[in-house]
Amino acid sequence: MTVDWIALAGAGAGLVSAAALPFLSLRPNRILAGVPQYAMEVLGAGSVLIFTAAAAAAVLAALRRRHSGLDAAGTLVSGAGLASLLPLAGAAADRLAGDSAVARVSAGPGLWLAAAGLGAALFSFSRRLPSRSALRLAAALAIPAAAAAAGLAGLLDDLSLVRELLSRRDTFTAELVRHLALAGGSAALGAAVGIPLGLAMHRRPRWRGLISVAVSGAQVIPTLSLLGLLIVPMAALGAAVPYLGRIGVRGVGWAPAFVVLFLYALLPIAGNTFAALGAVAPEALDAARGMGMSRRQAFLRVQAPLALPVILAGVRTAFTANMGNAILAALVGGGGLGTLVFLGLAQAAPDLILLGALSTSTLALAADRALALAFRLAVSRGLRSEAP
Amino acid sequence: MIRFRNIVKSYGSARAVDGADLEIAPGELCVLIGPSGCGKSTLLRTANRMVEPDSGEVFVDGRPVREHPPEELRRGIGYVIQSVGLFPHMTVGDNVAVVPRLLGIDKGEIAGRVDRMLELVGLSPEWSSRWPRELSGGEAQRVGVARALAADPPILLMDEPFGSVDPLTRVRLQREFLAIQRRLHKTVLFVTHDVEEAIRLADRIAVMRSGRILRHATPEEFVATDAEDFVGEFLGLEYGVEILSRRRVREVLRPAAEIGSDPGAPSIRAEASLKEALGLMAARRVECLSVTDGEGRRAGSLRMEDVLGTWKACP
Ligand SMILES: Nc1ncnc2c1ncn2[C@@H]1O[C@H](COP(=O)(O)OP(=O)(O)O)[C@@H](O)[C@H]1O
Ligand SMILES: [Mg+2]
Repeated sequence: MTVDWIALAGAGAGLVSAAALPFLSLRPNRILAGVPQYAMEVLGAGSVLIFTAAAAAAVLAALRRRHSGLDAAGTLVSGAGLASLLPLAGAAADRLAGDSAVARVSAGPGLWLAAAGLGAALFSFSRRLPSRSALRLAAALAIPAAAAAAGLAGLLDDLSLVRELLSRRDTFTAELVRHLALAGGSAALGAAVGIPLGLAMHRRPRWRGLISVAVSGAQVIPTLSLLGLLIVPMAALGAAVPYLGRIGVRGVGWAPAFVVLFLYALLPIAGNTFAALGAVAPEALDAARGMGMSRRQAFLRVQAPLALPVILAGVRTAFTANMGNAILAALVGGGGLGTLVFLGLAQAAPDLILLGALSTSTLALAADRALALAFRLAVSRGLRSEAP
Repeated sequence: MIRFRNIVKSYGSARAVDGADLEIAPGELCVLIGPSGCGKSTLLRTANRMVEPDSGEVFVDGRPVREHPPEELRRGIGYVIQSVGLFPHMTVGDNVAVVPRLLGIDKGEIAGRVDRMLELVGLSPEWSSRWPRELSGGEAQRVGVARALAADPPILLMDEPFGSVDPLTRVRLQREFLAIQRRLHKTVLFVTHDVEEAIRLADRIAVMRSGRILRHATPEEFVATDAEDFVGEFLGLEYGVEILSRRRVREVLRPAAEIGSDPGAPSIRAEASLKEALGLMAARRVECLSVTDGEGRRAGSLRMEDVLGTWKACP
């Protein structure tokens, strides 16, 4: 009955910015300023495809009707427009760069905003589709699939982002692995410590205040200061315990970053565990004990499974946040994808910054979805809500 | 079978149970009734040691319950509570199987028993794989009863088991439970604050107030209660009419041969209760009803004085 304002605004903004703003930017070399390139010039017939898709999506969004056919059509056109952006841009970059090995082609505001606008339209159309429909799944996979296809076809090699990646392939892989190990390891340790802490808070009211202050204490200290504050104690620890010193526990490096990430993971995990155990219906526990379960059985067979969804949600929050926060490890020489970002800052290379930032957020997003899926399988069907 | 002797239980300075005495004979359904907060649940929970009394003693089968380890004791006593307390993360079948599993009964035997229990409460075996969130309030209550009966305990403790369902479902659950009880003859302590429910179900009613049992007697014995004292006031003036719901028309009808026909009289089924019969008389403003049997044949008639006469049978 109403206009889909999100899709309309997204498709409209996508259309306008693709047409009016620089789509790509060509720099003869890495230092010189970029020369703006407009979609109509560099994409040729391809620009018609994008404009048509965006315009069609806008029209579908403006129709004052809610109809699954319209939603499917909107999903299709905005998805097609979005999926074709990257290959088209890659092909154009290839033409622009020509044979020059030093020329850099990077994405301009037109490309970014067109992608964001069409992405918003795609999201808005597809979320009204039935949750398990093939089209909805295709909508979710449209962008990664298009990116992967274009990448495999070598279409993207001339975009400067990809150039940065290719020229640093080994560093990138090493930092990616390190990032995963730092963020994942600290969150896993956070779960191993946070869940028992939450349990202790639930079981021992007298410890509650102390644990809660300790666990949230780390959160209120700004990250950078916390890293700074850790330099002296970590250095002392590394010096005092030779084994720790040998594995790299020093005032700088991975160790202080790991500790900070671990501390950040504690609050959501311990907090959720405590809240989840307390939220279990007292009737269920009364029934469990009244039917003859021992304390241990009532905990393992009733309380823990009932609290599990909320506990796992805390673990997932911690993993996802750590994937993003681990970027700060590079500040103290801890490695990870932040290394690329800070290197980019030092060299005034925006594409390098972008490479670090984009891969970090992709990682965080992927971790979030993967854990959501895995944890869904771990929770009893009787407790699952319908939405994923 | 269950005997409470001078039970006292305080929470802080407040006495929840204050010297309660009660004895429930084997196979008897005792309804414990009283205003909210008078200590009914607390007293009931001393029987399976969910509450330990400050003083006094509960005996089950002549043995003090404190001599039994609590878990072992509870596995031998069925327990149903108002909010049902079904475990939402377990299927209906797993819920029913909880106590048999705790007792270590073998898998094949448990599966058969789950099906039998569901059938007993009027649910087919297919219900076994459903989840509690898919059940209506009444269905959940039936599963609660099936779960309490699954290990075939001789004793059932039921704390307002039908308290949270709508009145129609509640009456149906009561009727079904009564039918089950007639077959199984459990020793039941049933807590409620609903007088009609007590009248429908009880072999004996115990009226409780401020932590004490004021009176313990058959429902009929309560008819002559002084309306001025607490018990009479709590049961209400309509108690004398409500009690008629325990008797069937067929129990007091006069055979057709005895009085001849009365063509103008409205007819009523022999299986109807005397309360319904009285209601019909009031609605039609008559003092005589024609009674029909299951096949619709005339079985006799019922007069107002026959209804009134049933109270004479009350002590
Ligand atoms: N665990 C408890 N802690 C403190 N007070 C309680 C507890 N259980 C019951 N009480 C109090 O004891 C009194 C009797 O409670 P209860 O046995 O639940 O009453 P009923 O079941 O008759 O409504 C109430 O005043 C109640 O507040
Ligand atoms: Mg109660």
